[in-house]
Amino acid sequence: MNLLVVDDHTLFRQGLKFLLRDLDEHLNISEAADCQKAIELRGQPFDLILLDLHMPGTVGLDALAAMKETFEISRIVVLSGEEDPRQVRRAIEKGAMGFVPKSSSPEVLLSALQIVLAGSIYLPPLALKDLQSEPAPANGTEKHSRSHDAHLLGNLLSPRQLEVLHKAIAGKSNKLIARELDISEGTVKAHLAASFVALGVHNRTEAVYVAARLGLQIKD
Amino acid sequence: MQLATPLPLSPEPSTDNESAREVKLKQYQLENLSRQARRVPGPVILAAAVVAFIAWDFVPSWFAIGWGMVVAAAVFVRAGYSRRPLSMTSESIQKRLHHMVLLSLLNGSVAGIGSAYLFTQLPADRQTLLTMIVVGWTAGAVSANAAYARAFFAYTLVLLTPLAIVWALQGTQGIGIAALLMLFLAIESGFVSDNQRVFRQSFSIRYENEQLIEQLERQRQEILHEKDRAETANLAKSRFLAAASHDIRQPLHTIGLYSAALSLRKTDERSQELARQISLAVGSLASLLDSLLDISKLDAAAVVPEVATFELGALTARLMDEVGPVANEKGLALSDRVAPDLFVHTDAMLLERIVRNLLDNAVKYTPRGSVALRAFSRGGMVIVEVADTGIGIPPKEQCRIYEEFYQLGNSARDRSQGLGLGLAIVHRLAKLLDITLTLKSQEGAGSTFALSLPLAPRPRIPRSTQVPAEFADAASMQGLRVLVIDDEISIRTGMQALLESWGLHVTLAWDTTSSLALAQQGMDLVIADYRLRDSETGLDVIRSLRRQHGTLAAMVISGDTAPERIHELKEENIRLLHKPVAQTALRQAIVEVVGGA
Repeated sequence: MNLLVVDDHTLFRQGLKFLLRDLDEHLNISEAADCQKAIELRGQPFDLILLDLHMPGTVGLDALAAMKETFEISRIVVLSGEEDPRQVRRAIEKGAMGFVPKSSSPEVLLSALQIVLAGSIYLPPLALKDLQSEPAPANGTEKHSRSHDAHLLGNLLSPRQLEVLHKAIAGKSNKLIARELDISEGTVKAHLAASFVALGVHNRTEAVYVAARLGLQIKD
Repeated sequence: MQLATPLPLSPEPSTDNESAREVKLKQYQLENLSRQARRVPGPVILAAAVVAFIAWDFVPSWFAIGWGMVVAAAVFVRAGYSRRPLSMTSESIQKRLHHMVLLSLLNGSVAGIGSAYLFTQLPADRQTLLTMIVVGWTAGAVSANAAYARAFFAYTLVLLTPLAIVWALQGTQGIGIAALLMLFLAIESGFVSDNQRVFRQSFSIRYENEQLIEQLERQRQEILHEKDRAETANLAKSRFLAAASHDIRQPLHTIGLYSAALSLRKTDERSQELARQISLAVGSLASLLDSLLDISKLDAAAVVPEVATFELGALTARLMDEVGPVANEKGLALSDRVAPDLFVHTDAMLLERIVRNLLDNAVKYTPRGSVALRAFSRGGMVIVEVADTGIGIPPKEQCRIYEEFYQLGNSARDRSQGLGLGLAIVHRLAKLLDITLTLKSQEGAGSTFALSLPLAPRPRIPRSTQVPAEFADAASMQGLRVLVIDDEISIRTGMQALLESWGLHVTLAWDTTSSLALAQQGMDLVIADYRLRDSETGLDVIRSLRRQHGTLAAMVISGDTAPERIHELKEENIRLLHKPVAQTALRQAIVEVVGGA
C-alpha cells in the first residue's frame, strides 16, 4: 500500500512512519511537511493519505479540500490534536474517511492505526457518541434497530449498490465513482439514495458514522 | 459636582510670573463686571430722569433732555462695549478691564458734572432732593462693581465729588454737607472692599474645586488606562497559550507514537513496566496540559459556543456510562434520576463538559457513600444536580473552590490529583453559557452542585425526518416466532438483532435440515434468503417446511429481479422482498404476511 503522511512536525512524522512500519513492513510511506509539498507529489498513486489538519499556511479544513482535489482517488484520514466531535463531523463532511486524534493514548493510537490500515473507518469514541451523528430512527425503537451487523448490508443491498456505497464512504466524488464504474452520475446518485435508506441515514457523513460503528471494511 | 456658576474656560497666562490662577480671576472679574454693565442702564436712566425732572423748571428743556440722553448714551456704550467678543489672552483681558474702568470714569463724569451743574441752578429744597438722588445713585454702584473695585472708584469719585465741591462753595453749612458726602463715600468704599474680598474668596473656592475635579478625572483616566493595559496583557497571554498549545502538544503526541511502537515489541517484564510508566507519566502530563490550555482558551475568549436545542437524556446517559466504572472501583453507589423530555438550548459539548467535571469531582472527593445525578424542571428552568456524600466543603472555602489550582485537602500538592482546574473550568463555562451554578455543602456530609438553565420548547421535527407514528401493529408483532434462514452466519445474527428489537422471537437456521429441526418448536413466520448454500434455495426450504407444518407465512429476500422468480414465489404465496430492503418495508411486510395475506 502507498501511504502519504502530511504533517508539519518532523518529530511526529518520523514517529508515525516508524510505528506504521512496525504495523506493516510492506507499506510504502512518503512524507510531506505541508500542503504545498504534498501537492507537488501530485500524480503519485497514494492509497491512503494521513493528513494533519493544523499546519502553517492553511486554515482548518482547507488543507483537506486541497488534498481531495489533488488526490481524488486516495482515501484521506485526518490526524488532529483536537478531539472535538464537531471538528470530526466537519472533517467527514469534507470528505475524510476517518479521524485519528493525536492525543489518544498509545493503545488507542495503535488500534486506530490498525483499523485504518485494514481499510476500516476509525472515529474517536467521543465523536461516535455525538448526538447529531445518530441517524434518524426509522421507527420508535432505539438502540437495537441501529446495531446492524456489517453483513446485514449485504443482505439489504445489491453488490453494485454496495460498491458505490463503499466508494462514496472512501471519499470519492459521484463523478469519479461514475467514471470508475462506467455508469452515469445519475445512477450513482440513485444507488447511494437506496443505500442511505437501507442504512437509515440521510447522507454520506452519517453513512460514514454508521459504517464506523459497524466496523465495515471499505473496499474501493 | 455642579458649581453654581461654572468658571470660564481657562485663558493662557502671558508671563511666567502671572499664574493661571490670577488670569482666571481677572477673567472672572471681567465677566461679572460686564454682566453688571448690561443690567445697569435701566436704573441709571431712571435716576437721570428723576434728576432732570427735579431740575426741569430751572433749566432749558433742551439741556435737561440733552443731558439725560448723554447719560443714557454713555451707559449704553459701556454696556455695548462689554458685549464685544474677546480673545482669551491675559493681555486682552487686562486691556478690556482697563477700558471698562475708563468707561466707568466717563459715565461717572457725565453724570457727576452734569448733576453738579444742575445743582447750581436749583433752589435749596430741590438741591437736597437732587443730592439724595445722587447719593442713592452711588449706592447702586456698590453692588454693580463688587467684582472690580477700581471701576467703583472710577465711577463714584467723579459722580460724587463735583457735587461735594458745589456744596462746599455754598458756605459753612455746605462744607458740612460736602464732608458728610465724602464720609459716605468712604463708608461705601469699605463695603466695596468687603464685597471684593468675598468675591475673591468665592472665586478661590470654586477654582480649587475645579482643580480637584480635573485632578480626579485625570487619575480616573490613568486608572482606566492601566486596567486596559493589564487586561490586554492578560488576554495576550491567554491567546498566546491557546495558540501555542498546538506546538506544545506535538512532542507529547510523538512520545505516544513511540510508546505504541514499544508496546508492539516483546520485551522482558522490567522493560514492559518501564514502558508502562513512561506512558502513564506522559498521559498525566498531557491531561495537566489540557486543563491548563483549556482555561487559557476560555480566558482568551477563544471558545465559541455552538448552541442547539437537544434533549438532556442522552447526555446524562453517556456520562453515567463514563463515570460508572470509576465509581464502582471506589465502591460508590452511582445513580441517576433524569426526567424525560427535558429540552435545553445550549452548547451540548460544553454542557457535557461541565457535568462531567462535576461528576469527576464528586467521585474524587467521596471516599464512601453515593454520587447522584438528577435532572428535572421547575418553574420554566431545567435543574441539573450532582450530589455526593463526600467530604463536603466548609463555608469559608466555598467561594474559593472555583479559583484556579485551588484544591481542598491537597496542601501536599499531590499532582496525581490533577491541577485543581476542574471547577475553574466549570465556573468559566457556566458563565460563558449563561448557566447559573450554585452550591450547597456541609463539611463531612457532602455537596450538591446545581446548574440552572432555561427549559427549551420541544423542537418541531421537520416533516422529512419525522419519525413515523408508532406502528399500531406493535402489539401484533410482540412475541411472534420467526425462523430466519440464511447460509451466512453474520447475516443471520444481524437479522436476529433487528427483529428481536421489534419484539419478535427469533430462531436461526441455514438449510432445510436445520430449518426442519428448529421449526419443531412452532413458527409463525419464515424469512429466508433466496440464495442458500449448495444451490439450495429459500423456496426449497419453505416448501419442505410447509409440507411438514402446513400453511406457514413466509417471505423471501432476494437480490434477483428476474420475473420468473417473482412469478414463482407469488404462485406459492410467498412474499418477495427485493434488496435493498428498508426496515420499514420489512416491518410492513411482516405485519401483512402474518396478518393473513
